[in-house]
Amino acid sequence: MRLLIADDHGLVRDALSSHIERQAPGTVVVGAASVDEAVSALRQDRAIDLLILDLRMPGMNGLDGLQRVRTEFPLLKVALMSGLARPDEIRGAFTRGAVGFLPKTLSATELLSAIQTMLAGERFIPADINTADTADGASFTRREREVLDYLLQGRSNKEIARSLELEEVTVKLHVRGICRKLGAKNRTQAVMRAVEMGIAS
Amino acid sequence: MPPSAGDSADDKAVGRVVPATFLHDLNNLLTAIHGYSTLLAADLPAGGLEQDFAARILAAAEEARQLVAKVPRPRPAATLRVLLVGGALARLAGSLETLGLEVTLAGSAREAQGALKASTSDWDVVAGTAETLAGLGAYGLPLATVPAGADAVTVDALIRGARG
Repeated sequence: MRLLIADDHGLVRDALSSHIERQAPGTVVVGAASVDEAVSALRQDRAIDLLILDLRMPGMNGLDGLQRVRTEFPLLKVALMSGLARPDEIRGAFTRGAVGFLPKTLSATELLSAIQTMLAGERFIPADINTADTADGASFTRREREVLDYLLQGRSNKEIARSLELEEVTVKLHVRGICRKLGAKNRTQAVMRAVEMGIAS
Repeated sequence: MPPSAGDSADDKAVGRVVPATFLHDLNNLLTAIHGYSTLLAADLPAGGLEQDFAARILAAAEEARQLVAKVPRPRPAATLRVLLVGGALARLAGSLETLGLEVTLAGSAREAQGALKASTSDWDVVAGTAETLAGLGAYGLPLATVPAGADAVTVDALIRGARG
């Protein structure tokens, strides 16, 4: 397996290369610090299986760099990598033919698994990068936020439904959503996790 | 005792004006610290003091990453709210949120019916396989029929297409 990691931070390239080469012996990881360097490397090395492209580095200009690479190397698999991508940027990358989006918070094992998924021909989209561990609660829907506030007060589904003028079944759906986003198995655990994370009105 | 970071209104105000480029650079440094401390923790002799130090650096890097993740970021003003029906599509919920959708998951058509019967104003689109959507057309919301086994990018496009 031959990978090209394009990121203007040498420390990031080196850390990722070390990890990948350690976890997948025999893998060759080549580095580039800009889109220009990545394109030059790809012209010289036609055996690259996957290009991992940092969203914010010289030559990217939004998603122009991705488009440029896709135009010159239409058969190459390209994944976008970022720590702070917006949903429209992620969607835009897939529209331009990217095969994956890699948040920089992925662990080494997850990263390797994602790379293997993409090389196997599937697209890789992680679960909401803003969902886990966001104490500001920004990833909750408005309804989930309202229901969570009542959960924190120890209210039952029936009481919450009455207060929010919803049906119990609807409250149940929102409780499930809250549990999913907090990684909790049930409402009690969800409340504990929300308190731990400092989520409160 | 001096106030701790994060306690005052001033601290919160600073968080709101941190430029994205700063967060990007900070994230990159944390990626390197996290990556190398992981390698170090794996390589050093098990149970030794050095491995414990590496594990502590790793834990600190992880905590710092979580702090960066907590920095408020602008959310899209108009998010598409979707009621996703059927347990088979549950695996896609997180990925659809990454793509910018606001997802509520109904485990079955029956659950979705109950929710829609009470109110349709919480969602813009109902999505599911043809089987799960049968009978949900009566509530006046656009339906996005999703092929079983479709990935999140495909489902996202179908949902946005159904909304028009």
